[in-house]
Amino acid sequence: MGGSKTKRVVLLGLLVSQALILSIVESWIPMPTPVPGIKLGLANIVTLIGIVYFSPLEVFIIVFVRTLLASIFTGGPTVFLFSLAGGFLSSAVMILMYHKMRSIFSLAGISIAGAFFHNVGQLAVASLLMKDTAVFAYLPILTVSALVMGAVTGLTASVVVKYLNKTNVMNK
Amino acid sequence: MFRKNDVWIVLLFVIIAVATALGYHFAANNDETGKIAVISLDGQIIRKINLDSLTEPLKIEIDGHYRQVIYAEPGRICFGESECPHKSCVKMGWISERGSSAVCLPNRVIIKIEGDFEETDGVVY
Repeated sequence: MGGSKTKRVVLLGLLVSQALILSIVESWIPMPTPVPGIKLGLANIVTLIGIVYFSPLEVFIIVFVRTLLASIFTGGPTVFLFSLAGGFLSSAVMILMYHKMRSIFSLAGISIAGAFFHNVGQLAVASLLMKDTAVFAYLPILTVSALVMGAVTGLTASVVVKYLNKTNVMNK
Repeated sequence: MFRKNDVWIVLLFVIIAVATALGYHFAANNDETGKIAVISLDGQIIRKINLDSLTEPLKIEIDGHYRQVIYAEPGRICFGESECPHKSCVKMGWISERGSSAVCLPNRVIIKIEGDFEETDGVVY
């Protein structure tokens, strides 16, 4: 996106706060399965919007600040590590796919890949911390949730992007 | 919204998920007998319990990053109480199958049920 530096900072701040609210609200929603690391991942909607309108560095800033603040409100230091690893890996994959393969895959498809790699990142840090690869046994069930929630957040983001493009908020 | 090519993304992840599930399934399905619960904290084995020879319920206090109590009963084991943030370890409930595991990520504790390939009798510290 173009626009003044001030406008970019304001919009980044808005995206961080929206992502933070989504993270906090989803932590109130009880999950039906007690699989560690399973969550809705609603903040991914904001990450995707960031990828569409901002530079890769700015996307990583959104993800870092959101994860840091969210782990202060919910979770704690270990949860922060898991979330950050998942968030960074998933953002890197989605940024790469969006910039190189946008003509092949939809935003929803890219979002599903991001959700999958979010789990991979989390499990990698978990197995490093626990010095045990047993946690990868959760990958199959986490993949089911990644397919569903990746699609939900990706479709939501593409609807939001469609309407943002009509408003000129992001490109003036 | 979706594109046709998205199918490949979904297919790739489904294959990976199924392969992982099958891998863990066959790794656990061997000729071993017996059920030994192995509890590790930070990658170090801190206790082994033979669930077959257990006659009465046992409570194991874990003093890791958070205080935790593991319950063991004849044939099964679980995280009973935990002071970790999300308590998903406690919600996971009892595990009793050989090859299955329960984890508490914040406390870095894993309970795994392994076969009786070592000469273990009773409770070993």
